[in-house]
Amino acid sequence: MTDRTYMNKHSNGIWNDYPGKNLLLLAMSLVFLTHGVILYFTLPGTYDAFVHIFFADHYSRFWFEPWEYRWYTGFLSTSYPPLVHQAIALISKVFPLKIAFCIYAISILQVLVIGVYRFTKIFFDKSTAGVAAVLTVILSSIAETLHVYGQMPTLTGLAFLLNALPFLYQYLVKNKTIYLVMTLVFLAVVICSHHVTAIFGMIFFIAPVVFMALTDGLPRAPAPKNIVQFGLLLIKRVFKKYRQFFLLGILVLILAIGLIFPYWYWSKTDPITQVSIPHGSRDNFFRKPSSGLIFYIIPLTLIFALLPAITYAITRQKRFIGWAVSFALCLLLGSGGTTPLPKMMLGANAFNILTLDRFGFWASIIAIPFMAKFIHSFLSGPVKRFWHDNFGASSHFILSALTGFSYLLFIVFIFHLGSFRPLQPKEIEIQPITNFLNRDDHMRWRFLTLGFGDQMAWLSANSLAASVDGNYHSARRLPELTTRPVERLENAKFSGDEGLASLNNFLSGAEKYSLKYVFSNDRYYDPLLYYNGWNRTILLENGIMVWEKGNISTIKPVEPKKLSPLLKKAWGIIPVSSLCLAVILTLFYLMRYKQKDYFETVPQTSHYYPKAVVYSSALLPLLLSSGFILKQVYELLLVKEQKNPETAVLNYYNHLDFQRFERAHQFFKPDPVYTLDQYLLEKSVSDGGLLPSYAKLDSIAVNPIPKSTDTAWVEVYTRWRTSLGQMEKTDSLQLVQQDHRWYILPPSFTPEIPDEQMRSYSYVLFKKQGKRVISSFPTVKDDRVKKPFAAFGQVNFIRHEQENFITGEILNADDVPVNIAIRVVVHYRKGIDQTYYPGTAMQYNLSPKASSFFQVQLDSTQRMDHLQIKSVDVYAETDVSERGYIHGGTPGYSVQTGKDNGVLIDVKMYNELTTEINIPGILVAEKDPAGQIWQTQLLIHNTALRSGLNISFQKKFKKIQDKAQMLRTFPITTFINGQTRQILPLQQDQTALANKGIAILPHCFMSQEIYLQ
Amino acid sequence: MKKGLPHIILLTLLVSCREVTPEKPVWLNPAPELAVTDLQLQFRCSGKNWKAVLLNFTQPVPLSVRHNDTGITISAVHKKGVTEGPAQLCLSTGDHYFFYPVHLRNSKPVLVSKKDYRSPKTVNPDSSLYQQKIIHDIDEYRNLAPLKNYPGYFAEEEILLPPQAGTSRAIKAEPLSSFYVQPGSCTAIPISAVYIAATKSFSITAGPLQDKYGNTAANGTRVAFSFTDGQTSSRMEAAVWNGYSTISIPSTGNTRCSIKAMINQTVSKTLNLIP
Repeated sequence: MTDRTYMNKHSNGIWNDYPGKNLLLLAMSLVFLTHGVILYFTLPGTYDAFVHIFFADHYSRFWFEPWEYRWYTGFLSTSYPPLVHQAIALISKVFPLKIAFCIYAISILQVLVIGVYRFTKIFFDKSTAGVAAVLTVILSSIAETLHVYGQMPTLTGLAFLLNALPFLYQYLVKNKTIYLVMTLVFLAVVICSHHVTAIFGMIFFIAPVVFMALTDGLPRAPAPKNIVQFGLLLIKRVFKKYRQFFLLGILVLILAIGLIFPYWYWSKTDPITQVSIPHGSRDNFFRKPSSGLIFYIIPLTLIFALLPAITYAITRQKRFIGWAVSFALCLLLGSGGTTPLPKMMLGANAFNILTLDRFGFWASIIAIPFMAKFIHSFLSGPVKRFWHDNFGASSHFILSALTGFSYLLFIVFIFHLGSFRPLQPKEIEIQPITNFLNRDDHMRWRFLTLGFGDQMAWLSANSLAASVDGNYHSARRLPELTTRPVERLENAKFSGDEGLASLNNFLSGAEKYSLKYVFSNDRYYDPLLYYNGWNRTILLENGIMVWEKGNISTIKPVEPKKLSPLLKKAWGIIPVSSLCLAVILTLFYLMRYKQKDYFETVPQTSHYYPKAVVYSSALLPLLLSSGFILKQVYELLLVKEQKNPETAVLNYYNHLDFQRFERAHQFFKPDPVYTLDQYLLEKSVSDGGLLPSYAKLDSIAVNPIPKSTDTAWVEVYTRWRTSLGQMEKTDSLQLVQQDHRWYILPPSFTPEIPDEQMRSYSYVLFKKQGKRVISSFPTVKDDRVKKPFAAFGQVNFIRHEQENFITGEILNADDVPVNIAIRVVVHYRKGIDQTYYPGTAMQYNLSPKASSFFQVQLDSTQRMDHLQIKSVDVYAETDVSERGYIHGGTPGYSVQTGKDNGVLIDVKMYNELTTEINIPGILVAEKDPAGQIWQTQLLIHNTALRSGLNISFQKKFKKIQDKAQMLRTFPITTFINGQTRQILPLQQDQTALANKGIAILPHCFMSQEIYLQ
Repeated sequence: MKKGLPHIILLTLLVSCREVTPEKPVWLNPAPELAVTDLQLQFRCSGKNWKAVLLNFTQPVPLSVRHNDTGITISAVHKKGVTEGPAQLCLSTGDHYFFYPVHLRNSKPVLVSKKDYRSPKTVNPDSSLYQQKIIHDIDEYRNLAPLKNYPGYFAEEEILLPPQAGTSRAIKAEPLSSFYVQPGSCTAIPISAVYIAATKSFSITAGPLQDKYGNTAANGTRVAFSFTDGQTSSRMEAAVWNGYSTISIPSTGNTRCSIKAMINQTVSKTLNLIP
């Protein structure tokens, strides 16, 4: 036969030769073309990617030093297995950090695809394994883990675990040392990458593989008659192979402890004291469908669709029993708090610490071989033939195409999940922030970010400045964070009252942690910052406002947690070495030891599926995928938001809460007079106050009162969460029905109109010259500004039932505006000292010769009496201020007696300034006839006050003089700038005397930057 | 012998290649004091590649070394003055260093400038007008120079500053030497009111605001105006500018209103406003 004849005789069967490997190569190419391209764009929107990038940056800068000082006043990086971070750090020596992360992620995805391929081969044939590899590329759980969560350690651990399992199977079946070595070297990489995968992987992956190997090693005949016999046979086999198990167990244990010993050492010596932080994966998914969607439905859609096929295949053979149990357990645990079973199984402690979405993720991985088997059969096996025979080739083709297309849309939806449900704030340009931190010694203090989302980790990765906040909750030990179920300070508003309370602690007690700068990306926190004595300093080019607090001392050196030099070296060398060893040994194995058909021990499996399974598993993927997409389309475009008065009002407030004003306007009855412009104008006039400019809708209740078939009145009770506390509001709205839609009638709006068309006001502004000598050397002595003079007008220790506080008055005795920081140190017996700081009941910035009341909250009576007060020191530190000393508003007030020692303060405030007062507020002091202050409170009003106008509001105030005590049994010493000072003689307050002992000062918040020049 | 010959040769070479420790150079013209600008130091020594530097307590002074047959001659590289005082002359060759204690002085006259330190820099008549003054003279190389009118190098004085508010310079040509007398607290607050029919309002003026020495109150001083119509008490704050603070309050028709002004703990008389 000639060559031409020979060549012509052979048919072109490119997919016939090595079908499994061809599909594997296809899958690996698809990884590059899809995830490789998309990842760079989805990375900034993920939850965890920046955290891992931050850790990578740590290793890039300080490879052998585990102490990371940039978060939480410092923590040990040995609190997380280092391999992933070290690998990214090594790549980042050549590429920028984000690119390094993407390169690493794509590499790990390739390892994962290979791992799934090899893992599936211990179940089924190579073709099915190839289908499994392609399935991995488009599996929703993996897409979500990578593009929404950014959890690289989870994927790394899983990728190497799946590669280890075939070696483990071969070792148990063939008892060859090379397989043991390969198993251990891959498990070593798993241990060094992700501790949780290593621990739980033993249970959910290794145990079923062991079971499968034992079952495959049982003699074919005689077959066990029942489950008891089968169990006894297995136990016999275990005892026969006890040496193998013992050796494997001992070596895995040694690796698990030895490879990441510093991590175990840290866990033991510095145990986690954090209270449980809520996580959506622990919710009851029926009560919180949004959590169920993200953590259960999206990752497991295909699994649920193919559940009949999976269940059938996984229960057909005894060798799969372990996997069936594992799969069911993972599905159950992944359901979170939907049933009480996960909590019972894990225990309350583990339940409240772990995030349970990982179990659903592992269930989807376990299901891959079984899904691939059915898909393979449906596309080119017996199920296809069955369909062709019964319904024709065309219907099979159409069904396959529609299913594939709808699933593709579903995957595209996951990639763009952030667009439909914003998970992170918009991307922030961090260069202006790093420039700010790098100049003028700003790094000598700590900073805090607000409203950055997970980008705060990206900022930390690009700067050497330290923050009090962080994004790795297991490592934090600051009591203000660990005693509260708060995720991060920067998103405190999403953690409810506890989050804001924690943030308030840091903002008022900023001196404790040398916290001087806040970078704010969210106006929500502006009132809290302002009333805790923070001032706006500069608006950066990227739109971030820098807030600064005066009189904060520089960072005091923190003793890093000590670790022996040997452990530090081990931490820096062993994990990366394990990865290098894995690569070298893999090459060695492929060249010298890999057998051609080394999976010949894997028994053949039947390709039969019952009709019910065939129909359900063939149709469910299309139904679920397309149903999901259609539901999203319906919610976005077709849902009837105005089908009844209640729905209309709820959706109206929803749009208001998210500042979608154009959509909100569409809920008003169409009227040529009430255009969008008119609506926005009226809104700008009536809005601007605490509600709703600085509030988030917490809850809403609508009470419709139908008047007729096409008109209705609705009472709306709303609770708003602001940074200064919760506020409630009740509105009445009238609605009419038109064209089967309910519309809100615009409320009558009669704005107060000032007489003048132009207004003027003289501001006296001050400018600190700063360093007059143009030099990079530290400030010369002659250039230093002296500490301004201040004086205490009075200082009193008040006890009211279980509450104790220091009240008083502080005066600015200087000719320049002053920023004052007050600190109270209570000296208890037994050498205990406790420091307290004022909160919102004080004006922190005072004009020349101005004064302010203040109140500093202390501990409870029970605690203070137990500790026994010895003495009290009150410190005031002053500094020249350029901002915050104009408190705005002319308050007029009268006081009426109320019930139970209460009074009603009628306030009429006039805005004499040229700027809007966004939050009208008053500082109220209760004074006795001698002029002594018994308590001070900040009272604020919800709505803004425009320039030249008046506003009236009433506030209840409970007096405490009759029941409280003014304690003088221990000495109170006052200090101004470190020197003891006498308190000024007390003066009577005639105005307070005339108003039932109530004195007030204006204390308003204005968002317009008067001082920024 | 023949077998050992290569070893002998190698050993000889090894010995001959060993570095010889140089002897400490002998200073041929030592002097108790060295004038750096006129430096000409002679040393007897062997070898080449000698380097020299003067180490004083502020900075190293580079020196140039000229080799000759018997040794080296050292002179200054830059003809500049130095901070006088003890120093170490360091001669080095390779890894060997030799030190000679010396005392440096400047030979040529240099420019002397006066230093005048005042404390406190800011003085307030409310507390004290006394200021401490410390003077000394210093040359351009930061060496203290004896004072002309006082014995020794330093002089101290206690000065009673005049109570006039303002900025003065301790040294005329140096803005950094400025010190400040602030205005003190107002002793009294004159207050007056004018009814403006056109706007139906009262223009209330507090001022002239002065301290006990006649200094005008500092610009920006916060004046709190409290007024009441018998039912409602109001408080308006305004800043002082050029010794005056003015506010405008609307007239309340026929109702009488009384007003007073306060700065810190100083209160004006109460004014009755009758439209």
